[in-house]
Amino acid sequence: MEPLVRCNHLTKYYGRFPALNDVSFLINPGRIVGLLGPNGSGKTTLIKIMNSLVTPTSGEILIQGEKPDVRSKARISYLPDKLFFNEFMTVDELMAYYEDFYVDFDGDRAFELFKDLHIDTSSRIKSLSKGTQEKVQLIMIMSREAKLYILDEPIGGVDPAARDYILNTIISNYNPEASIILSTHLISDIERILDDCMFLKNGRLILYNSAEALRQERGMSIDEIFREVFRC
Amino acid sequence: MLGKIMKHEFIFIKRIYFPVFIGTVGVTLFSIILYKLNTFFVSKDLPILSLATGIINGLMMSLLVLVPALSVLFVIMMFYRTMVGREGYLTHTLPIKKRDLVIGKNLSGMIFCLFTMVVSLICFILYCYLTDIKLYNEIFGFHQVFHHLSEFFKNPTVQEHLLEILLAILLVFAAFLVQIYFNIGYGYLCISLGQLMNKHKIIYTILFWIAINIGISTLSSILISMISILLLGTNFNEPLIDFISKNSFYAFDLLAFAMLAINAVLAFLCNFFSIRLLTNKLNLE
Amino acid sequence: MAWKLNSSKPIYLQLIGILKSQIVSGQYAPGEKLKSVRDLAAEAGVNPNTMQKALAGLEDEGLIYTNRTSGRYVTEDEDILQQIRSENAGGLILDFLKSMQNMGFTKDDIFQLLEHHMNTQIHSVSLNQEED
Repeated sequence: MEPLVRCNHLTKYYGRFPALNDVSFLINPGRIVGLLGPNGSGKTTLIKIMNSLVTPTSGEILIQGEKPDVRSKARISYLPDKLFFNEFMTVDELMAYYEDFYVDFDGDRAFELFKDLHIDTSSRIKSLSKGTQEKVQLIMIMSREAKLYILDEPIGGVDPAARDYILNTIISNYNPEASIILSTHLISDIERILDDCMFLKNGRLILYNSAEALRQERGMSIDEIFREVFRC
Repeated sequence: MLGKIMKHEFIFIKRIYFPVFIGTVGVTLFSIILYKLNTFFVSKDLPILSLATGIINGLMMSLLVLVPALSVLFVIMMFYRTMVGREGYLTHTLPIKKRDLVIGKNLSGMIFCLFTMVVSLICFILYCYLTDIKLYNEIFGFHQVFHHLSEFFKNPTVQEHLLEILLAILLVFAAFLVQIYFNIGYGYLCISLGQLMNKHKIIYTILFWIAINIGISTLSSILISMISILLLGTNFNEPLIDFISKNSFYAFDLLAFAMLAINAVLAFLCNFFSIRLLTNKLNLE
Repeated sequence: MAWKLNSSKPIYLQLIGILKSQIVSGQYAPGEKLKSVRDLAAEAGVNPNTMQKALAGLEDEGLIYTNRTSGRYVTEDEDILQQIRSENAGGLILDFLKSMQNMGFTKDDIFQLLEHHMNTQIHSVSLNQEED
């Protein structure tokens, strides 16, 4: 079976600076993968390349065996770490927009999630608090029936209660045919929901193993391993 | 997909343009009312009323001229915002071909710009017609426009060449539309080039705009002189006048068509390269 | 509320421990149907694959069985349940004896204290059980 994501010797230079350096890995369906590393380790560059927002210098990345293009975009649901919607839209208008362009968008489910979090769908995104805006973005992303979810810092600016709700949503939406890539600093909060961990340092993939195997081998939590590996 | 993109472009534009539209129409009507009031009270000396009329009239003229003039810039800025700004993360992850995105936005932008011009024109005609101002009527002759037009169409020569004249008008209108399309598409191309850089994308966009502008102006001047010489012989004074007097209507059609064709080709090239750049060399911040 | 887990040790082993306690303490009746893997994982706040592994472990020990069409059930085999209860009890008693010895109590002291507390505490103890 073709892995969901296959990365072969991916390299990206910005001028003379290698943001990504000979990165290779594969991700099978049904896995929740943590993409872990400090700022500047190449996580965001890797994610951008997967979403064809940036072209690599050399190497390739394949989504379900194909290069990233219009077809793969329909199967990837990406949550960037910044606000990327037009602030003047209302949540309802945003849902209509998604309905128009994404065949796999489940508007009913999104509406239910908005109700659960007491978000008024007729309000303009601009009028919502930052935390609420982030929840709106997350709900839109998770309401798609995609094959690959890429979440860049999904719980960063969110309060602990909402954090639990978000992690719960991610677990409840688990689909053995889809995979989730979670890029984050807040490792101790999310490490229990990870299957596998990818450690990126200075653009290189230095460690890729299952979370449980790492715990067994080193007798440490993933958070502790991270602190050790990236010690300043 | 093209239709959906255009539909959403119009929704976005409408959000910002609708108040401007209401404002323009409102100010026009207000200006007309003030003028009428002014003429009504002309016996009484009311400097406040004259002042108000002047100011509102000035505002109206500014709006009628500036709104269409800035509409192209507005469309180009919207392209930057949705394709290179942070909204690019939404636009470029949609499962749409870049080709549909560029052409869809270019077309809807063109329609929007045309709409603003039509709105300004209608407001202006309305103002002139309802206020019966001597100044406007002497220069633009709106009251006599219909009279002149009917005289014009009764002319036997005109009736003989009616088809060519209508064709010429159509071609000029089409050329005008394509001109707008090209101006927008040109802005898109400069943005597509500017985004290649990692820093100061906007500055590079403007630099490209200037550089390509100079380049094309020079090239087209050379091209037009070459074509003129080729078509009308080296001694191009006599044959030119001769040609025009004998085939005045055809010449005009030819000129309009040439404008249309050149702009169309340029527009196509702008779109083509924009699409190529955004597909293969996207560099989102 | 997610279950209390130590992230420094393999999670699936801890899940097995917690589920075992839940079963023997009566949270699940013998023969009762378990929630789906996803629902259990969401309740525990862990990865569904990890929960799956824990459930497989429980199945190996005979505490649960899988009916292919309808899901997972707690065993009705009282012997196994009793065995687990005894194991758990043994663990608790061992910890208790260690703590008491650390404080310096002798075997006789321990018996006396046990008798005393069981007689006076018997009412509150049974109350607690009812609340559970």
